[in-house]
Amino acid sequence: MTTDGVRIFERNSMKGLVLDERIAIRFKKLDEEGLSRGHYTQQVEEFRSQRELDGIDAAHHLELGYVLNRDETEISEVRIVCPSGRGTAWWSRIDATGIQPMVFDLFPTPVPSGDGGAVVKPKDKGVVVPLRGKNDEG
Amino acid sequence: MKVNGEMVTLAREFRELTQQALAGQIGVGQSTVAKMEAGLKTEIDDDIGAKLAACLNFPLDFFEQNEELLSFGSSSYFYRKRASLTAADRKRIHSVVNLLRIALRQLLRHVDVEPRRALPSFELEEYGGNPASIAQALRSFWALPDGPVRDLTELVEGAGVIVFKCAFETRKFDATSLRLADMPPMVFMNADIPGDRWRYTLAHELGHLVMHTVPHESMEDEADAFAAEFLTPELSIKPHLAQVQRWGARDIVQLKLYWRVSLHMLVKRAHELGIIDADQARSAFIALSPVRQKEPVPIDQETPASLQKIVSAIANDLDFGVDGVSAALHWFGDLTEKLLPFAAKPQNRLRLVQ
Repeated sequence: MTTDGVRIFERNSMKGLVLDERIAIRFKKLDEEGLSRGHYTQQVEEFRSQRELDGIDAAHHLELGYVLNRDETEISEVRIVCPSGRGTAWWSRIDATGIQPMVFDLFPTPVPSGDGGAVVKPKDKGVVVPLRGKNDEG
Repeated sequence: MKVNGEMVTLAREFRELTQQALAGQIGVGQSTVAKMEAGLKTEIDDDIGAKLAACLNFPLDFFEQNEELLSFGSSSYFYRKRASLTAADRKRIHSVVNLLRIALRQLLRHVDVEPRRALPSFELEEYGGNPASIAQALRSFWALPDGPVRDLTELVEGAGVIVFKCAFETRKFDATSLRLADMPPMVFMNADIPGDRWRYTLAHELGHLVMHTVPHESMEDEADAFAAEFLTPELSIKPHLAQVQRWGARDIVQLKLYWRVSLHMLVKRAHELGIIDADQARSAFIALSPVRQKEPVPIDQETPASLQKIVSAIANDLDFGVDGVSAALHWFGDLTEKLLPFAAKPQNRLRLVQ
């Protein structure tokens, strides 16, 4: 469905809008820190890492999110967020007076440290190396 | 006994002895040592061999190994050096790099290293002669998200590169890398450099590994251009740099923390990307000069893990222990302790008691 340069996308249960075939926006609930909540699926990871995804086909990925008050009875804030991996490249607050100045998040949520290094395994059939002691001959 | 002269040179340089000093200590003339090292005298008396081993503190079988010494001139050897490296420094670095390379070959007889991602090779000509385009291609090939590389060492090791943290005992030399046909790519890093310089240097060496096979004059500049784009991609960092109002250390230290590169590099990058002109860059460098050697808010140095995993797998999982590892490497425990990262064997293992 398209309307004047706006179309709805749905990809593996992720829904949102694509504006002008360039900007994809998905809608998210944000936590008090302004970070999107929810499970990090491969698709979410790729969307947030600004990778092009079939079916969405937009160069830029944004998240439009709301933050609830402490009692979770009202929306206290609406933000537009530019995700970058598990961090945030920038975000802006949207309120009654318009869009507030852009703020860089220089301290994105650290990615949990995982072992992305090489895997080391003993060889299937271990090589038997004769060990020679200091007093062994030959 | 039969000796491999290159192993004599290696042991002598590691112990920082001249040929003359070694000759004096084992009771032969200098020409005998020179001939031995040149491969002109491969048979030596057993008592001379014993004196040689005792003097250089290596077991006899170290000198019998069929290994060759790679020198700084060989075509597969790239090195990042600073101008005033002395001959003694070069020999020390040369010996450490060769000892570790030979040790790795021995260790890999017992374990397999499985990369998580491939390390491709790129032809510079196919990318318009632009190393930055290759950096972008590699980031894309490895599916890296925009923004800073979180742990460059882990990323590079995940591509099968073995990163060695070496005590070169000089600040005049940052790193060297080596890509041989029959071994994983290797990068030998100076343990004594700050964390931001470690990352930049490793990115520079990564550039050599993916771009260069034959040495040429512009290769260092190409590796620098690769490193700059790989660590701070133009598209991601430009909006950040464009927001900087002043270029004092205090003003850009948060960008340093985020991008994990030096303040100096941020200024250099801003100039390269046309955000500040040459005069502004010069002023900024002058303002930063008091902290050039020791920048505020140091970045933690990253820790290589592959070699430790290899050593631990052999010592612990294969039950070689420290002594067994030393014996397999044809050297004594002092070198194992000095050159290899060692994780202690867990103490709380269960044993079957009969």
